[in-house]
Amino acid sequence: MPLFSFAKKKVKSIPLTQNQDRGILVFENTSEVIRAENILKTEGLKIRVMGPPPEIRTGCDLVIEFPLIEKLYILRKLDEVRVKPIQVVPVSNTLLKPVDLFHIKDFGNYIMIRAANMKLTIDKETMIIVNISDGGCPDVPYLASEMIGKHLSDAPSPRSIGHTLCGYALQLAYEEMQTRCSR
Amino acid sequence: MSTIVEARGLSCPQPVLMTLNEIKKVNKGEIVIMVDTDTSKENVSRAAQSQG
Repeated sequence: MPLFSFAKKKVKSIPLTQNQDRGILVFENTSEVIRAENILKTEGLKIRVMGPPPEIRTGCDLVIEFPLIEKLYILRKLDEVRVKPIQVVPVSNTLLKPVDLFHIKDFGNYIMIRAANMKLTIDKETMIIVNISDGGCPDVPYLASEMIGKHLSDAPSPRSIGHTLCGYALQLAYEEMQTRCSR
Repeated sequence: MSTIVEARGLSCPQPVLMTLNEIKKVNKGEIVIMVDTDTSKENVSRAAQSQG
């Protein structure tokens, strides 16, 4: 067995949610969550977009979970680009739910991926996006008109043209579809 | 004579996929898609337009 693969097996990554103090950033709206996520991921920070715990009654439907140890750095980075969370709170329970759970359905010539409340369907042979549905957000018709009929690799990413929770969910489905189609 | 696709009671993307399958089968003529929600109507219309 090569030494590298042996060494690789010994390395255990610690999930973000375990053995680490965590906090959540609460934002006024989903656009800010998307902007903040882009910025913090670009900085290489281990963050996740989650559903908020029930005790958080303000803000939008998404929060960003982050390692508390990085709090000052994160707030500084967000301040630089004028994205200001309305709350920064430590996480004291395990009720957060990740929003990146996928449901995949094979329709023969087509495959659909649903992420949260959004469905993305493509033609398996041509990789053309044939349907975007559900959500109920005001930007869904726009997202659909911009993406349907285009090749998966040519379509604009929902992250770049969407502004709502639906756009965020569609981005997750889009990324999952790209991952699956590149295998 | 038009071809009728019965997609009432089905949720998206099924009406859309039935429409696209029918478009692939039928080279000429009219296809009538029966749907029962505004969302399905919009999605089917958008898919049909994307086919030219």
